[in-house]
Amino acid sequence: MLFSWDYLIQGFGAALQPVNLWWGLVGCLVGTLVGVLPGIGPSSAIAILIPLTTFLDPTPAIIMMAAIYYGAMYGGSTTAIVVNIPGEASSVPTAIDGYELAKQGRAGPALAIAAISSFVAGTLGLVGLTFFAPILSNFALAFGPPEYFALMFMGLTLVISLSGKALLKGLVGACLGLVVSLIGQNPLTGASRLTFGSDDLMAGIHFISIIIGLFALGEIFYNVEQKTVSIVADKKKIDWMPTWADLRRCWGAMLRSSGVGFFMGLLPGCAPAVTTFVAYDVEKRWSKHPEEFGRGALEGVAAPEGANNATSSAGFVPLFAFGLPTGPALAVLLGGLMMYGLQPGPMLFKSNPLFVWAVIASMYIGNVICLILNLPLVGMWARIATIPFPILGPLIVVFSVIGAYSIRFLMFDVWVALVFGVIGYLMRKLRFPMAPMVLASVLAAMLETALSQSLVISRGSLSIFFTRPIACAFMILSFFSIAWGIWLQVRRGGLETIEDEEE
Amino acid sequence: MRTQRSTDIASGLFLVALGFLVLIAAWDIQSVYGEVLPPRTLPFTLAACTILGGLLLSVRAYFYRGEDVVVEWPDQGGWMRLLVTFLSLFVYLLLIEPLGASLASFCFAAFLVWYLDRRILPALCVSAALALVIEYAFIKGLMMPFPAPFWTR
Repeated sequence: MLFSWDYLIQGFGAALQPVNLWWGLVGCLVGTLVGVLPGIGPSSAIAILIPLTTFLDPTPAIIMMAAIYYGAMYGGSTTAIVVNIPGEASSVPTAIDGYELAKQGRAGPALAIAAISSFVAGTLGLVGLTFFAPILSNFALAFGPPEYFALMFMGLTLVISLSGKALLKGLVGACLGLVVSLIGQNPLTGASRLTFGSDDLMAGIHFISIIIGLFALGEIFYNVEQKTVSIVADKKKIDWMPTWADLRRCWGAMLRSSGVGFFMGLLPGCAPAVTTFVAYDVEKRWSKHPEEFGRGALEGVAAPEGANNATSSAGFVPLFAFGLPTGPALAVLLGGLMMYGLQPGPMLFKSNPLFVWAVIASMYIGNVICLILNLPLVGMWARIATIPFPILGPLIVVFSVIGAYSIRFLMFDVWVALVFGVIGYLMRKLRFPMAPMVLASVLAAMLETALSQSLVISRGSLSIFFTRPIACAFMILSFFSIAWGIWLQVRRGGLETIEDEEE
Repeated sequence: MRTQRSTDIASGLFLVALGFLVLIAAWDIQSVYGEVLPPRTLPFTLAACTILGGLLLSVRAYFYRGEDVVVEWPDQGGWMRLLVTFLSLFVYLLLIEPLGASLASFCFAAFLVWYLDRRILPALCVSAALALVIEYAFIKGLMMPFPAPFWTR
């Protein structure tokens, strides 16, 4: 199925229905809030909300969750610019120049440029999603189980090889994510495995518990050990209008960062936290005044903010076309789709076209909502960012517990989340990347099924992954990415460590 | 374990032990005759990768002779806050089923906000609002089957 204007128009019709519009607005508000608040990221917010939204139909639920994801990209810039606290890792480059501009009394234009750049790049990314995803899903119709296995394997190896200097830690994290997902019953034979005789473990460990633990509770434990930081925001009224000269100066950066963010965002492992730094670097090299970067260049705000929104839109291309998430937040979103019985991939475009196009259309509308929320309400968001952690932290814990309990209404899932909260805290402390573990735990069931089906087709021979051209291409890319990661590791030397967490 | 070198050695060894645990547990998996993917294959492979990865991590860290990277463990006050948060969360989870979700959440949030913020009024206001949201939005509004207090059952 290729792109069709009819479907897109129908999608807009569905997205503009009051119920979908309402949940889209709620998602944009929650997303912006999540972006503004440093203690919680989009992955944990979506993970907490998935079980709590089961009373909704799939379309408004996924519209809301997608809006949380891209809304967080908007919100992250506000605190980065106003109080030099990036709400998200992807806003770190924004803080470099944004806070310098704020110190020079130009916080308003910086915030406006961040919002406009986010809107332009997000919308351009959506145009890419609108036209790319159906073409790729059409291509993916030719995929059988071996191609799917090879594709997911490639996704995992790319995420591992992009774990900064922590290749081994990424690999072990992915293995542990897969092992944890194997606990319970074998999906084909029903035999119990790795349960140590426990009845609770027979039901398996749900990946949403893992994600709530790793991201939400782990982040709380990590923050609670530090003394409370008091944030002093400038209370004076923020004048947010940029001049035409500011806009003229930044339009090139907005377009370039859209391209960088979109095309890098198609690759698994290229989270917004990665692409924003690349876009910032590209802009600095491209600029006629690179010496201004780091001292308050507006392009230094436009580029990362554009890139993170383009990346968030691009991530939906492999998610919808292949069912392959490119980062932790999209892995959680994939989990949300699966909880609703929807299997992303080429068949989703064929069997549920109205759902897919409604979600895509809602993202265009959501970008407008986010722009409106972020331009005039910037002062409010900046004040919300000053809510002290001692109040925010316990609330996040309670909602995490409620979210984990709501998965299957079992206390077992909450205890699992607590255990993974401790693991998440230790992973942060010991500098283990979390993305490989999360992606592995979400993809595990699909990987296992695709592997089993492939081996049934080939009567047990692994050669099936190398005799079919598409699967073979993916496998070669997987091995290349591993070799590339090892080479980078050997060249750099030193201890296994991560520069920055993807979340 | 103040340096990353020592924590890497320790975590590598822990991963080796964990890998062996998976390996042992995988022995118990019942095999079915004629399966193309024997049920032990994946656990064995992943356990082997974990053991190998853990071993390499330890060995690499052991032979590392560069500049030490300090692991920023919390200070005494930080450990205390961490411990109190963890224990209060633990007690909260134990109390959810007997006291019900709303009351247990109220007690937990009131205690933790007070402990971290040291102001009783915000602690009570925030936790009361939270308990009302759970009771009226989730339990009564969305009909979510959260645990009810034991005296109402």
